[in-house]
Amino acid sequence: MATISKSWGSDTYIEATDSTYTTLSGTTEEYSSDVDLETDGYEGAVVTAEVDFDATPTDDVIVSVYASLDGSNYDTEPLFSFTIDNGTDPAQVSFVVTDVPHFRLGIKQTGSTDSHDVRAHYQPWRWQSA
Amino acid sequence: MIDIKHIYGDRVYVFSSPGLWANVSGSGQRLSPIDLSGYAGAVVCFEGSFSTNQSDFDMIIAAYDDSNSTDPFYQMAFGADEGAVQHRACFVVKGRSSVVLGIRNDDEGGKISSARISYRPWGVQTA
Repeated sequence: MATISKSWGSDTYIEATDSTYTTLSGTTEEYSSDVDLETDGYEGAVVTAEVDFDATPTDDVIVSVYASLDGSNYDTEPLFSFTIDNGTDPAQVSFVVTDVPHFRLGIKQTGSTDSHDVRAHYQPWRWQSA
Repeated sequence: MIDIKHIYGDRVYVFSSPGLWANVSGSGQRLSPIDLSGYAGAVVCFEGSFSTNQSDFDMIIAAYDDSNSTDPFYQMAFGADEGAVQHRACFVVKGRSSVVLGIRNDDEGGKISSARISYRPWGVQTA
C-alpha cells in the first residue's frame, strides 16, 4: 500500500519581505506578487497576512484573494475577502487557497486615517506517493 | 517518491471568444453543459462588460447542476453601477461531472450588457 503524503514547497514572500513591510495609503488597494500554483503542479497554498497597525488605530485592513487563469489578468471580484480587526496589534492571519492556477492578494485599509504596515507570504503544497 | 501534480487543461471559451464580447439580454440564457468527466474540477471565469451610460441593473451569473435545475449552486452579480465597466470573477467547481452556466440581466427594460465565459479544467496526475 503506497503512502500519500503532503509535500510542501518553499515559504515565499509576495508582499514585502520577512524584514520589511509595505505601508498602506488611504483606501488604495495594494496588490501582491502573483502566486503561481500551476507551474509546479501545486494543489494549493497556505497564505499568511501580517499587519503592524499604527498606534491607536482607526482603520481595519481588508484582505482579498483575486484569482487568475493566466497570471496576468486577475479578477476584479475576489474569490473571498476578510477583515483584520485592529484590536490585536500586530495581527497575523493564515488561510488556504486551492484549485486555481494563479492568484494574488489585494490589501487595503477601511479608511484613510492610518498608514498600516502589511506583508504576506505563502507556502504551496502538492502530494507525493511513497 | 512520486510527485502527484495538479494539472490544468487549456482555457476553453463557452460564451463569446478571446477579445470579443457577446450580448446578454434580460431573459438571458443557459449554456450547454460543460462535461467535466475525467477531470477533478474546473476554474470557471465570467467576464462582464457594461456601457458607461448603463447604471441601474445587474448582470447575474450562475452555475447549475444541470439544465433542469431551478436553483443555482453558485450565483453572483456584476453591478452596472459599481464604477467599473468591466468585471471578472472566477469560481471553482469540483466534485461534479458536469456544470451548466447561466447568464442574464436583471433589468426588465431590455438593457443589453456583454459577457464572455471561459474555464480551465484540472485534474491530478503522477509526475
